[in-house]
Amino acid sequence: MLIARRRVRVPWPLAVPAVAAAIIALIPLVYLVVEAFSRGAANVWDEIFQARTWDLVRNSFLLTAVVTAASVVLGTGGAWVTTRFALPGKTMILVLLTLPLAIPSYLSAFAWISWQPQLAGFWGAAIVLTFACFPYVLLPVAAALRGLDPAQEEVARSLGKTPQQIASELVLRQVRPSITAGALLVALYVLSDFGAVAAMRYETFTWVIYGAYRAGFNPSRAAILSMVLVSAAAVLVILESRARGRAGASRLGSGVARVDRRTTRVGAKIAALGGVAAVLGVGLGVPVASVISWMGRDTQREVQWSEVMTAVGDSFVVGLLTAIATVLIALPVGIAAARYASRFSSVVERTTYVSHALPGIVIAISVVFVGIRLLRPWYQELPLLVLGQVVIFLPLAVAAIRNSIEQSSPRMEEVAHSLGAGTMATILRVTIPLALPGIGAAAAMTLLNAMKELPTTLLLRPTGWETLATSIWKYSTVSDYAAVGPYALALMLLAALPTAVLSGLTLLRSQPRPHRSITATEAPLS
Amino acid sequence: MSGMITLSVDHVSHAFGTHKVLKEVSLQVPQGCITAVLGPSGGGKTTLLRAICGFETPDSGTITISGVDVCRDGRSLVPAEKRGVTIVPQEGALFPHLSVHDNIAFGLKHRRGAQVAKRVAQLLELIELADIADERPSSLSGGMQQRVALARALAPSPALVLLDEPFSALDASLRQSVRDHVVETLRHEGATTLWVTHDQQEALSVADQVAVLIDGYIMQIADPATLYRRPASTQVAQFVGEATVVEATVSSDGRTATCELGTVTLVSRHDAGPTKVVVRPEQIEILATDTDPNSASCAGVVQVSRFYGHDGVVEVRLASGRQVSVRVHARNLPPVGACVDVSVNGTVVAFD
Repeated sequence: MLIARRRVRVPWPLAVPAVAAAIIALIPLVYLVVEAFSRGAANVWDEIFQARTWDLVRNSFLLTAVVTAASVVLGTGGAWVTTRFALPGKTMILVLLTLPLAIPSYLSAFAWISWQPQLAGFWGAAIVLTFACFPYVLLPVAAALRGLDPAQEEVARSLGKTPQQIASELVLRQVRPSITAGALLVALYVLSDFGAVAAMRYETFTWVIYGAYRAGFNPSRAAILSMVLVSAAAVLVILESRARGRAGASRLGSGVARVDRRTTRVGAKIAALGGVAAVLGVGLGVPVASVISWMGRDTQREVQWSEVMTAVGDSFVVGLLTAIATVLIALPVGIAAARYASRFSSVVERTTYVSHALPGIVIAISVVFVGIRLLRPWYQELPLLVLGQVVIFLPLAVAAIRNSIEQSSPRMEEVAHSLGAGTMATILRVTIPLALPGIGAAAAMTLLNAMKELPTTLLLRPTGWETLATSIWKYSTVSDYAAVGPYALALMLLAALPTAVLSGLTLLRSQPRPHRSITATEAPLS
Repeated sequence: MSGMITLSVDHVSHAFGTHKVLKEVSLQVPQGCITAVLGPSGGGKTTLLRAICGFETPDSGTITISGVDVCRDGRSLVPAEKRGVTIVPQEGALFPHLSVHDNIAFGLKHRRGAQVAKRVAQLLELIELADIADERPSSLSGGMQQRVALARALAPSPALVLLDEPFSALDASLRQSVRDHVVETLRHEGATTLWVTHDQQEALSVADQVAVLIDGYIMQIADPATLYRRPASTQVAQFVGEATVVEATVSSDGRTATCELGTVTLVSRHDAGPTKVVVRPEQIEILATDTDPNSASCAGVVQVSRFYGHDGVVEVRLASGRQVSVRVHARNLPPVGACVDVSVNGTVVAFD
């Protein structure tokens, strides 16, 4: 049978908003180039070839390498234990192991610092980021391991291979693409993370960019450093999309894998459970225990619950507006990419992915730049903050919407056409309703991530607004942890927990076959 | 069949890259009748159907629906939604987010009101599913889904309904009853229908006329009986039902021919001399079993004997080494190794 093909011209009611979305996504890049070259090309070279710039490159690279390596070890190990050991409640353990993903890196960094102040610096940042990031490896690898047919290994055993040979020659080789894809996501996260390195006072690009911007004396230095950072991130994004493409191609058919009946020795079980407990203790226990201990630290002071509730309200409003705006802007791009494959739609789609390689801090600064110059009335108002958040979360929303539309059959739309529904009527009556669960998931994901987001909110929030994220930041930077407690607790309950539940559900749904949207729906920027 | 032509396909060709899928296809579908397009998979059936719907624009040729050219010489003149051609796809493709009622009402001009309710109720009654109007498609069986898909396609009273292998997803036991039901519904609505299938039994039993499409060519268009009895080529003969092609010599009067199965009567006069004739398994009769292998009356030896219950088929190897299929009553099924004598009943078609 032939694959459904559609005339490749994107209808204008889709094309116009899709181009608008691409322009929005390009704002940061345009800003970077304009600002970086505002003092001439010679200045750009001077800044790049400063010894100090190379210190930053070295620091960022070192942190990225160490965190990525540690995450690969923890993530692959965790995936191995939870899929291949006969442990009680394996799926539950797996979901628990993804929970650290939900705690914003700045919050766990402050939790560590308040407990062990001497960790500030490289090792503190490395620990916090490793435990925040290893689920990016764990999720795809666990999904891939679950997708393998145990019959393969039985065949290998019958052909005389030892369990060690099977593990290295057969199993690891097949899940290697998933490990690579996860590792690249981790690297991208570390490179663009702002909260953890700032809290740990470890000088990487993002922190110094923030400093250069905050000090206000040298915006072009901030832009030039951003360009170096963006170039590095862009390389990672390209590597990531390649790895993801290969991972998809290397997958087998959807043959139902038989139930795995392997047994595990008691000693190995105890060791595995001990390891899992240790990882959970470090990744989840420390932040949660710290937050709880903050709450009880200063019993003399009344907790200002009304202020906390205001912050909850502000966070929620920002998150909700961001989610609605992001989904509305992403929809035409996602539909065009999924249903009208052409050079135009692929250029537009890829343009919206550009900000995937941009750290939140860079996006925030560039939206400030545009706000001051072009949208003055909006500066330090809600619309500009929402715009900044939209730019950050657009790539994830487009990918999620595209995926969910591609999952429904184009036959449905053809039937609608044959029944007399025109292009727009079909999109409104068939395409969008069918993709509604995926669109809803994209909106929920955006809402939750927007509530955790720090750098953009910090720079763009309206005067007088304090969200949960900025309140945590405000009090933590002056080490007033007793005041942070209620905000941190509220943020964990409001954003972190549902995020973890969502990713757990994604994992469960993906059980028979590994699914690429696992990584696509998780925000690599915080 | 009435004289009005609803669909006219005129010298339509289409290629995907260098692979030609449709080659100068011409076809006319008269109003109110069921036309089957029969062909093996990969023969171009689906492409033809998609071209008529407007999902694909053929490279050349003209398609005319109710007197209006909808595409001509590689240009689409009328978009799919304005052609008045509805489709019942292979897997039904019901909208999963809508109830059965809303699925059927989807193509109606107005979506609410007494008119709509009346039309939907009428169709639900016609497909005998009046009590499931509020169900979701996911709760229906495969056969019910196909009937709802048919009702949805018929609801706007389209000029033409296309059925794309509508029962290939159903299991064999269900297929027959759903097929009967669908044909009855189509006849009741007086719908002009183009029915695409690879199942020759289905095509012969449901259609007023059958177009055989093989390798992108229309090989023959005829009513089912003519198609089966007087195929236009040995290829059509072998695709439509089982057939054995044997060499024969036409007698001087052009009415009979002799071959290794004996003397056969030709369906029409043919030039004297060497030719080929097509023999159906049910035309061959086994005259005697277990004859002496050396006697003149032994035409061949049974190689395979298949018992089907009500009847059976034996494969007989003739003296020349050719193997022919013979359909026999189950009572008379000869054993493997038996020597049999055969003759041919009825008329056969001769080809050059």
